[in-house]
Amino acid sequence: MKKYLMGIIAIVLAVGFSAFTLPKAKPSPKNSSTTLIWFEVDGDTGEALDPDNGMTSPPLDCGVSGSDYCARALEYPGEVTYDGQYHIGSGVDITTDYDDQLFKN
Amino acid sequence: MKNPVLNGWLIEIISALFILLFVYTGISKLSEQNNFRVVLSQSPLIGSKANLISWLLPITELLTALLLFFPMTKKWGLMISLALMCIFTGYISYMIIATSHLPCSCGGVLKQMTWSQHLKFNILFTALAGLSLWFYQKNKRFIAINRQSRIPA
Repeated sequence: MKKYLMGIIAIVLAVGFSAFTLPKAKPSPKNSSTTLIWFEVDGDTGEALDPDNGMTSPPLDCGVSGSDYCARALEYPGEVTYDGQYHIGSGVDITTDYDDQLFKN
Repeated sequence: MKNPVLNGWLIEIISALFILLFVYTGISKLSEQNNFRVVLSQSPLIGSKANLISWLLPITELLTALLLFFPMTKKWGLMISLALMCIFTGYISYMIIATSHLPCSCGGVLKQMTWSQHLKFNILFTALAGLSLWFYQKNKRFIAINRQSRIPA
């Protein structure tokens, strides 16, 4: 058992670090009072092309598979604010905090 | 170093470090497999093989961690670790030298590193893998010599 001890510790640490450092996966809104707002993003970096122009549905040329990022979704209310247009909230980083994403077809 | 006990401990510590590294990056890559595949497809070296490599690489990392875990297969684990680290270091070196736009396909915390930091990290781990294999061979020779020199009762 002693000869496996360091290996077991390493595996436990690796699984623990993975649990803490991986981005949270939220594929759908938590409850019926929130909705996903879509922002077109840069194909390489995943950053929003226009953080003040969110849409209630994704662009038609985005899909579930592809080689470049196309659009990412954030939750409203919460991560997105609304004053006639949907804006990415302050302190929200769309490259890490997104709740869903699509790729260019 | 002529101390086989110390050599043994160093081999164990380095193996544990590689188990930690490979399990962590393997899990990270598998859980963000889609993102990983997208970034790989942007690499000029990988391109169309991105889908295959996005599955093959983390599975290889996890299998290598398994080989390192068991004493019987540790040597093979260390050899594969050295090979993987040489490949990763070569890939990062090529990307830094040859491409202007550098995506990041690292897992978890490693994603916070810049490409040059990642290169230094990989060089360090490549050296550790080589060092542990060298200690392993030294220990085997030490044990073999001592077995031969033992005078039977």
